[in-house]
Amino acid sequence: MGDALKALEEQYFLINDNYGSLFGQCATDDQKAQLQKLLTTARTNYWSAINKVLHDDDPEVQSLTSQLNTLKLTLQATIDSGQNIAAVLGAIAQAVGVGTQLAGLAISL
Amino acid sequence: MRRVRANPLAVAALLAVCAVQTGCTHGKDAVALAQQMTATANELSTYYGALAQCVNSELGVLELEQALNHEPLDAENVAQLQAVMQAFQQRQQMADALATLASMQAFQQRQQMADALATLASQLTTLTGSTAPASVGASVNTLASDMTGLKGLPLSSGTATAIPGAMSQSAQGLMQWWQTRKERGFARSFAKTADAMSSLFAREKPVYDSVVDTYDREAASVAIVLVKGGQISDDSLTAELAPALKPFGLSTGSMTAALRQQLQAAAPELLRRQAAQLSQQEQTASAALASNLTAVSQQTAQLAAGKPLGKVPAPASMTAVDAWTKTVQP
Repeated sequence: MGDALKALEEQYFLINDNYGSLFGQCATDDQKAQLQKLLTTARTNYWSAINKVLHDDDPEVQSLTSQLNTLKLTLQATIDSGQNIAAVLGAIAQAVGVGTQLAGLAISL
Repeated sequence: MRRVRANPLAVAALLAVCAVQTGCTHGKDAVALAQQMTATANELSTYYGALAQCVNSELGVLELEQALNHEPLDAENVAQLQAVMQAFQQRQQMADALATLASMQAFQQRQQMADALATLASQLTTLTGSTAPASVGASVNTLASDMTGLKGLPLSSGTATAIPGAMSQSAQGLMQWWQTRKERGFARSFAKTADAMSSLFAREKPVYDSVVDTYDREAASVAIVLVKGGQISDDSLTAELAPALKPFGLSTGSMTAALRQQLQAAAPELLRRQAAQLSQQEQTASAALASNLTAVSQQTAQLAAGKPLGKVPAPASMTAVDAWTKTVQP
């Protein structure tokens, strides 16, 4: 549980800590709305995992956790590279999508 | 709900009387174990209360982020945090109930037992809807029934023993022990409960640590925004200089604009580091609690198996738990 939870926490803070800067780069209302949605989805994924227990032993969870950790590095590099906001939002959306899959594997206690 | 904490001094005095009256090694071991279990359960209650406080403060921080940073806070997130806070409050009530149960070991009079059971029923009322009467036998039976059907504590899977059922057995076993005064009865009554509490804490510890870390990081993030925006007083900013000035008893005078700007620039890194230190402090506290719960569980199992504890364990030291919870209290 610890590794998967940590991965979701780190994903949320990667978006949260860069939110102000990314929001400033959004050129359209649609992009701003997309960023806001991605932030709340990442937060929902994290708190959903907190509310449940994740199967650390489940191979699918381990695989998704690994994917999420790799995507975090990619996402950080994308943000730091100063690529256009559309590319950054696309990378965030991909990472948050994996986070949603991971949180979806949580089982009720 | 009314919180009742067993007074450690009163418990120790009652336990001492009990030890004199039972007068054997196992009796002394049971007394020492009950004392340790009561102390640990009380600290566990304080810890869970602090976790609930962290989640409550986290909600406040998210509301601030919404106001200051335009970060959305939707109803689903609020509901999730409230559910987590409620879960911690339920665990706190469970720890309170364990402290009361453990302290009952000392009771010599039927009325004391009845009073303690009434207290226990009161502690569990919000969890069980218990209406246990204040007579010993009826109280135990009603509580046993109520606790078996305990709602709201998601403890039925992944834990060796479901805590509600184990606590029910503890209450029944305690009643039998009280009636017969058979040695080992106390430990046998609590073996499953102690094991289940220890297992639950170990399993959920990553969640506890993560929730506190999230709160610390989120709070630092808002504090950084306020510092950058020039909304923090000069006095607070000069606190950053304390590591350099405090050893010499020096204090700052009026702040120049240049110094203010430099301190504002340095503040984000300092705040992030302080947030990490607070999270580390909580992890030390939860590790200490996990260790103590394991020790109590192992000692209970040992005594239940009829093996003397040897060196009677001293009440657990909870300095780390106390130090962290003090940072959380409003």
